[in-house]
Amino acid sequence: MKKVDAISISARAAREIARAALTAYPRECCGLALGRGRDLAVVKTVELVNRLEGADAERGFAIDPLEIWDFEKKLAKQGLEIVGTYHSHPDQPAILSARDEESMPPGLAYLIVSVAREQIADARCFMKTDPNDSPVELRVELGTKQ
Amino acid sequence: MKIRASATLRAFFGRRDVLEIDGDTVESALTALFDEYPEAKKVAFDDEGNLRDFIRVYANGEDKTARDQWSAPLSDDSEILLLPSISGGAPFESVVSNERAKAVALDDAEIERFTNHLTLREISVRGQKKIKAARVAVVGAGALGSAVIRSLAAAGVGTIKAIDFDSVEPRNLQTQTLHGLRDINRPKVASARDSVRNISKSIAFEAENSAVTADNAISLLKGFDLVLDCSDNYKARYLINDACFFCGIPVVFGAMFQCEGRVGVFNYNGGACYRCLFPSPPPPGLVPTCSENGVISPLPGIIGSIQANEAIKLIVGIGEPLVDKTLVFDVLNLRTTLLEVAKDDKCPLCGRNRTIATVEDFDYDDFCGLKVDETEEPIDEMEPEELAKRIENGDPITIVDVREPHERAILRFPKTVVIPIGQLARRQKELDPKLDTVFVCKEGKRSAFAVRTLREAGYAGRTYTLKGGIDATRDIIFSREGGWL
Repeated sequence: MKKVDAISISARAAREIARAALTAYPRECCGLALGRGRDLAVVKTVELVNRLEGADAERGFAIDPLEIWDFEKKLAKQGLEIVGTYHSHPDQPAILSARDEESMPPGLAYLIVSVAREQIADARCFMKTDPNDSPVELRVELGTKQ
Repeated sequence: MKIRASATLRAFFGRRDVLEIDGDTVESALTALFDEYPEAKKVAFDDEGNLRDFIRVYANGEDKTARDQWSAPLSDDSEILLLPSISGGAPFESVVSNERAKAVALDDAEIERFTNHLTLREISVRGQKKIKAARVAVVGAGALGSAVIRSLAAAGVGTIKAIDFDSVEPRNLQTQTLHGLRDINRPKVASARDSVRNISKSIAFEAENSAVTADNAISLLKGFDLVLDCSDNYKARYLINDACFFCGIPVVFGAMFQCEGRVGVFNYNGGACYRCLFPSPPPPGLVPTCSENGVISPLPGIIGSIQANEAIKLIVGIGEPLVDKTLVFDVLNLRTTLLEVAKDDKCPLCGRNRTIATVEDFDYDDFCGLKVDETEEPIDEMEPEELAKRIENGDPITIVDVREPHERAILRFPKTVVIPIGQLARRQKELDPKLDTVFVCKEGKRSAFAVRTLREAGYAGRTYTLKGGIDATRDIIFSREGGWL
């Protein structure tokens, strides 16, 4: 697999993720980052349902695999692919938790947004290339264009 | 039958979205699939052959990820889906649940009193309620414990238990700010209770005037959300660590050595424990014990405050705690280092093959390899009076001082040869085997270690240790510079 050390995120995608994270607070939001895989560029995102309930949703998230599958079928027509996933950490740093790390599919970028009350505090991105390796942090390059 | 893989996993199957595979169960279909894509097998299964957490297996729309469903027969026109399971959690969880926080209320006086936290975005009302609901045990009401207990009481921790067997002595007052002149000879926990009462009357304070032992460790600590290890000796640290591991309580550890302090969080969220960092303590012969080892007086305030800060973070569930890390703070040169502390798979307490099943008392000397072997020739001890007499008579005798330089500066022992323990074997030629040789240290432990080291190196002369060390000679042997501490 091609070695990558950065991910670019369009202004639109960044806005979408921020809105999802702030709306969901104090719950965790989650969704998919869509774009072009070869140069790891996120063009837009789609928010999916956090399947956890109650207090669990304030400190975790889970996406229904069948929801991803249904979405993939629609996506094929748009010429985009899933390059990663995003979720928020309410009142917690934007770093991988042990549970995040355990469940990371290799090759998928993991974007994490830290929300402190009513604002985005930090955004970081991690990826595993091999399931046996530790994830590496990717440099996040924010786009300014629409 | 058909196997379809999510685009997120497709890279491992030659980017093909549909694969035609012969098989009549999930098991046989996956076996055939992975025979064709051996590289994908390494991705999908771990070294033990278990399907990795991020893959879910569906057959005809139903979740069949559990292995025991793989042998159920499937029809020829079945469709198997390999989908990613994307889930995760917050990096750190509060040690006090939201439910417990909701069950407490802040009254008007508390709202006024805790303004600093209530207006701090990271803590606010929810965090302050967690602090009020928290039950924290502090082992050691000495130097670190003073800073920790004061800080936690001021922060508004609802229940604080202080555990210490010791009483206040004048020499404690230089570092132990909980205690004052009127507390001399009182139990430290009684003095701590008075100090806490003076900060807040509404704190439930439990004073436990006893030492932590293997027998009482669990009953003393069980039911607490957090334990702060402010002890000053290795034995207590291992007992606290082991008891907290069995009770599932995180430990905020603090320690000091001269002008350097350390803080770490152990046993939190499956992270490293104290034994992952220090499987066994260093031999006491090589590290002066706390009573021999001084400390710069503001250091415990700094280190204890960092411990209390970690405690508040864990209680509220904010920030990044010192999990799997140890902060080392050198206050002389103002250098801080963050050491990575990996959880040790071979840890006898929390690793894969656990050999410790209960909190056990251990013989510290045995643990450090210092226990006297029964078959070993006993080490002769010389009474201080005997040594004083020989010195006064001018008898030919060699006295070797094995203390550290700063200890010798406090009290110089007359007419000694100074050889550090580490150099004894190499420098044994400096000793005359025809003369009696007496080894001296502060308490008589390191000198025994010295005699044993020299014997192992083949020294054949007559050796003694000074019984009770220099501590026992206070009123007998002379030549002091400054007062005795």
